[in-house]
Amino acid sequence: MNSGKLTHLIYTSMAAPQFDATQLEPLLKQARDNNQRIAVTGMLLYSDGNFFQVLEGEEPLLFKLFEIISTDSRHRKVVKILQEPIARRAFSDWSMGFAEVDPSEFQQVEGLNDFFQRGQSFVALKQGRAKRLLSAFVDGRWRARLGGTTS
Amino acid sequence: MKLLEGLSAQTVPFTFAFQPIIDAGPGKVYSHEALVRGLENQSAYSVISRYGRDQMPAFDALCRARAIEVAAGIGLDTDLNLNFLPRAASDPFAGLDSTLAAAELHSFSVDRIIIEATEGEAFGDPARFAEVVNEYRRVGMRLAIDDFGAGYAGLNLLAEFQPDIVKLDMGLVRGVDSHGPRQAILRGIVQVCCDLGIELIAEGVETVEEFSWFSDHGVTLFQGYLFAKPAFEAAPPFRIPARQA
Repeated sequence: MNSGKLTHLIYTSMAAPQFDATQLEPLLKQARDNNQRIAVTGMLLYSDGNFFQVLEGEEPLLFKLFEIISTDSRHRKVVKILQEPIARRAFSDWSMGFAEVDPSEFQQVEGLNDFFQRGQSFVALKQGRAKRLLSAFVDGRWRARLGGTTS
Repeated sequence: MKLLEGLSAQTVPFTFAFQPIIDAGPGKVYSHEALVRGLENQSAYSVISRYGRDQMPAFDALCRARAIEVAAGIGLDTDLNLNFLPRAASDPFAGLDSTLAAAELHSFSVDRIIIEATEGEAFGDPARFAEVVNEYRRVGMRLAIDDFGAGYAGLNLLAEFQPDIVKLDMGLVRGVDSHGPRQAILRGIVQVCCDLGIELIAEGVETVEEFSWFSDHGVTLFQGYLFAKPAFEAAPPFRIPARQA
């Protein structure tokens, strides 16, 4: 059991107009370095200009991080979907897992497996809210900007 | 508190029946709800009416400890839904300790416990309600809102607080297959729950027509006489009927 106040926070946002996919890699590196330092774990999905992120960590640090993220100019229309206490991390091995979801992969949650380069797979993720919400996003929910492909 | 003081879980004058909640997808039991009964299988009402209002907090806490004991005793190997009256308690966190102690005593993993509270419990002070149930979630229990749609807060509650599971009030479930307004409301609830990662249980399902309507709308979790009645101190067999075309 965790002595600290472990919480997860899940939000969605839209990439800023000047943001392009080549900026994903530096963004991830920055997030991973920072998260490792403050013991934040999670998962980032990117699909055609839409971000969807799960953050897990100790409460005060996590809320501070989200404040900083909210003002980052690389994205806008930040919508907090939920934050709530959790008993344990769903992404304990990930300083920030990442998957880019092709819009044509809508409704193929299992396809996410291909994006996980390291051992843990999406299917192996413990059933829980984070997984259900990730599935919903892959399914086409929570996207402010939908690509040309219809789901 | 006279009736309850000094009672250990071994000498309490009530026990539990169990009703399965079915996951019609894989066709297996998702969880069992523990329903209080007298020692001779008397109704829940006859047990609860023995206790006065001021005894409710102690009764509520003892119920959960006893339900875990009975579940462990019959070797229940599924998750377990326990009812919870946080509003009754002057110290709502006291019940958490007794629930945890019972789980530990009977080697019943806390992850398997789902706390059920009605939306009425959140009425008036949803922030306080969230604070209480979040303590339960912090140790790994899940929270289900029972009788959802029966009145009180309704969808508004989900704006303030997102449970892990919503159990639809049977008033909304009854006859849904031929009732337009219920269908419209339920389609909305199904979408909200999907967007928020909330699992949905259709409770009180009694007909194949109701079952089929929910199945067609993506609901897979069911509880009701159509599948299984509660069984006294036992996990009953269940059936999943064929869906109507």
